[in-house]
Amino acid sequence: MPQKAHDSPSRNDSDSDFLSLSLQYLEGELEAADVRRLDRMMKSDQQKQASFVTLCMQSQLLREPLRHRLNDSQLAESELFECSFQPPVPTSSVVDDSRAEALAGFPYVWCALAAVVLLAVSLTWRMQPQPITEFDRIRTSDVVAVVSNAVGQVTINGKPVHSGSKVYAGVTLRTVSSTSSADLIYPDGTTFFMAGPATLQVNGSSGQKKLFLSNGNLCATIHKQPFGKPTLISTPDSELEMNDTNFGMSTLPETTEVMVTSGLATLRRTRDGEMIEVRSGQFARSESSGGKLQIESRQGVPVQWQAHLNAKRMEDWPIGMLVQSEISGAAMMTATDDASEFYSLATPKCWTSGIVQITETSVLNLRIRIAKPGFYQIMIGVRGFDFKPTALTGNYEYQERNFDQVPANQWRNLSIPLSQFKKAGSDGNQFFKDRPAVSPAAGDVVYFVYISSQTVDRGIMIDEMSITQEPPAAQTNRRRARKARDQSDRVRRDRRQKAGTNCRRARRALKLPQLVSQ
Amino acid sequence: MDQAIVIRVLLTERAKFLAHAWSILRDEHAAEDIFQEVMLLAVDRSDQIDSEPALIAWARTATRYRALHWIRDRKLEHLTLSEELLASLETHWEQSDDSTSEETITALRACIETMTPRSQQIVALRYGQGLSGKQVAATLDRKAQTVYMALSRIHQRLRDCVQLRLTKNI
Repeated sequence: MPQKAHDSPSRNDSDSDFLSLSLQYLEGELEAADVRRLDRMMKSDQQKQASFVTLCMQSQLLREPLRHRLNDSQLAESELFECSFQPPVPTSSVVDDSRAEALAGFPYVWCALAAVVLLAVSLTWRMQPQPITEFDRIRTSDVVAVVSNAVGQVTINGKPVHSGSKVYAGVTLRTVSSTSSADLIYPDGTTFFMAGPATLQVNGSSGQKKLFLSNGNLCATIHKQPFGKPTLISTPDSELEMNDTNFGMSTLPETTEVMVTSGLATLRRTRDGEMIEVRSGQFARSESSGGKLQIESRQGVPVQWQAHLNAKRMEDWPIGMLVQSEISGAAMMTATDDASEFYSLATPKCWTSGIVQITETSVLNLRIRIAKPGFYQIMIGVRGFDFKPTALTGNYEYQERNFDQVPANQWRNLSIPLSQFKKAGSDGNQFFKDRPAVSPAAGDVVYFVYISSQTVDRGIMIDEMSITQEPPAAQTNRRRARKARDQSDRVRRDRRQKAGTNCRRARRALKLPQLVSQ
Repeated sequence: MDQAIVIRVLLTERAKFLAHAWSILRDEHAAEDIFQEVMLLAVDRSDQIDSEPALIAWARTATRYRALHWIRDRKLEHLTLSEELLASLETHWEQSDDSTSEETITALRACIETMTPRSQQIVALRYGQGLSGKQVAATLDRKAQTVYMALSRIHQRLRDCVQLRLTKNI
């Protein structure tokens, strides 16, 4: 490293002494007298003040990126060594039974004397500056995180919340319906994305994050945590411990699934304490009644998917009902979703495996029949390929143009490019056409498809559903059709404007009073 | 300002606020707590803040006051720098806004790679593994003062190297 030419050795030595003292100060190693000396050194020297600020910044920045560069095994070793942290038990309130019995036999005067001594000791103790315990930290930071990107019905302890709501230690955060989702953001940037329906109990403090996922799907980017305080996520049958990890997980009845895309997670089954390490690119499933925990390599996600709806296929679908139709062996009609009482139909939530990976030419194809035309919506759930919660993670919606004018009781084939879906926003009252055109990103993964006519039963039936790649010719035709439609819209708008201008001119010429002024 | 933007700005410059709080508190967990409180306060007051520079300036002041409050509550004033000096340091913290944390991290990484293996080992032990100067000394079988002097020289060189890289935009 080149030295500055004007730096003399004595200046460098003096700088080194000062920086050495500053380093010890930052580590809390200096006595009061040395702190005062450091204070005096800096007060009259602007250059030293600048050096001190640079040192603080450098040290803070070095702490984070350098730990990322250590390899997984080094990290795992150091974290496991430190992870046996237990909060201190307030021993003063614990009274041993045998000692209590012995004390009961003491004369009252001894008890009174003991009480006075205890009171004096307690007062003296309270007057001294106390070391900061983990309990203090939890008390001062009851608010542990904030909710962001809340979409649909999201609640904390049963009460509706919105983006920006504070999350206190001990509360239960719920994304209620299939179409609701929310981010939980911690001050260190650690972000959890909950895809509804999911229930997450938030515990711990900023020092250590502890969560309980009782049901549903979650993905997260967990940043480097304080030394010896990895993030702990429990489920009804398992426990996960992780640090500096990117992962997705699902809590299903008696099963926990976890897929790690970067870093390391330790999965432990509560029933028998069996434990495995899930590393980057690996998938693991813990079944409370299953055999040995197994690690599998992560499978790729296909770019095409097709569902002919029949009895076998429908077994896994959580919402919807099988009916016989006149055109084929089986078809679907909407049923009621218990959470929202909406008439809807939904594919299974393939959270960890994914349904398809989105490409620029992905198209959702439906063979659909609507008995009573009117409002209905199609939604897709999208997550990042590597489970990183981003601004593009969440649900996307599509509404058919002129949905109330479609022919009733006729089978139609719809091909909807995924690029025409728009991100569902937190404002549920905003019209679909007014929403910004934020479409799902190529490379992300569709994990469920959902069709709903909300509270009205429109007798919607689906015979086939697939996501395919649109051939280039079809894209060109579609672009041409869109261009022609836009052109005709523009012409109509221009005509209307022109007609309006002509009317105003005519009114002015005839000096007719304005309707508004009347 | 939009709450999402407030969160994004503060998280982007998180390292600066943590460093500021840490310079007063000398406890990284307490610094995290203070940063968290400031962030929640900023989200609460997002409608009163109209620009990114205003948000950063406000958050810096809030961090200093909250950290000092924390120190006073625990009667630890004698172990931290005087309030007068901390106020005087504000100008230098403001100057650190000239470059983003991301730019400085990139420069730091490049500078570390040019250091000797011995210096890299000390940096890895102190900051990578989070050991204190005394623990690094015990690991390397050296005197604590020797390690602190080595660390201070490393920081001097890093400071010059980073400055050079940022000004020449390398």
